[in-house]
Amino acid sequence: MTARPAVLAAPLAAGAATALALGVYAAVHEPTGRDFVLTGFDSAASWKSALASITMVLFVMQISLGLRITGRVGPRRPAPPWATDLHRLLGTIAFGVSLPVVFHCIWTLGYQTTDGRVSVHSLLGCVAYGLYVAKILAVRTDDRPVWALPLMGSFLGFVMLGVWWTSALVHYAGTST
Amino acid sequence: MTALARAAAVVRWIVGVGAATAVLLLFTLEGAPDVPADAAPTEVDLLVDEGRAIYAQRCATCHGDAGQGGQGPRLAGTVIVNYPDATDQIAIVAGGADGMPAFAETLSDDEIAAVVGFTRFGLS
Ligand code: HEC
Repeated sequence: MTARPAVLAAPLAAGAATALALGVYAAVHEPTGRDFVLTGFDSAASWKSALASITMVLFVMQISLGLRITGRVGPRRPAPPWATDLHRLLGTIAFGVSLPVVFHCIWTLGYQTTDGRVSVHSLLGCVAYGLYVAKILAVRTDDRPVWALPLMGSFLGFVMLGVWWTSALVHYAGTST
Repeated sequence: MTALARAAAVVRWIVGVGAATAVLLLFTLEGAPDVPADAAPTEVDLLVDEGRAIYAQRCATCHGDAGQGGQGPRLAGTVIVNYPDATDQIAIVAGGADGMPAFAETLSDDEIAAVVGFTRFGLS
């Protein structure tokens, strides 16, 4: 298998289109301001923070599994095949868990630039989904360079950390004091 | 196919359907009933108008004419996010906060409701 970095062009283009589409939708769509509160929580901010934190935990597991699969950590033998299956399962769950959150973000609140935190959050949120799309398409692309998935995965992890930091962490820091 | 791979495939289907539904809802779900442009002013419009006057008189000096912030924090676009529940915002206006006067004595409940309504729906 000869690596051809050019094969990444299509996944990256699809990712960029996704990020752009989300951003444009969120900016153009009139924010409805209509909250939907999941049972058991007292506000949108609290269920969103909880779900976002679950995806964050999953992301830490994903990065660890990724490191194990690519042989960066752990014993000097190939990762068991179930590591890849688990990585896919958890990644899909993380994406699923994040869906109601992003829906509330872009449908109820919209793309906002009222201050630094909100601007960074809006931008990174769009970038995160773009990266996700690029990565799951890259997984299905033959002849991709070996560094493609680790690079995209780590990048996605860091962007998600930024998204979580500028929302859930701020929420928890604000409510605990 | 291992059990895990099977589970991943099933979850992928569920999440895929969920994602497709979410995208569909983004474009179809009505946020609020559309108000025709020539409709008679609604109760909310009247409330917002009353609130606008109170805001200009009592709040604009600190929070800016357009709610952009000044001595007090920005309100335009932020209050809905910071106070998903309007009663929390009413509590601040009535009871005051650090550097923010309490209005429970100077404004009636209706006036507080009006000015809070204005900051939520009249500022952008
Ligand atoms: C003397 C200046 C001053 C006036 C007048 C004033 N505010 Fe404030 N307001 C502040 C300050 C300062 C804060 C920040 C308080 C804090 O951080 O604890 C604040 C905070 C707020 C908040 C919370 C904002 C947030 O994002 O947490 C709201 C809502 C608010 N004011 C509404 C009003 C309304 C409505 C009026 C008019 C009826 C008003 N304020 C009049 C100074 C003022």
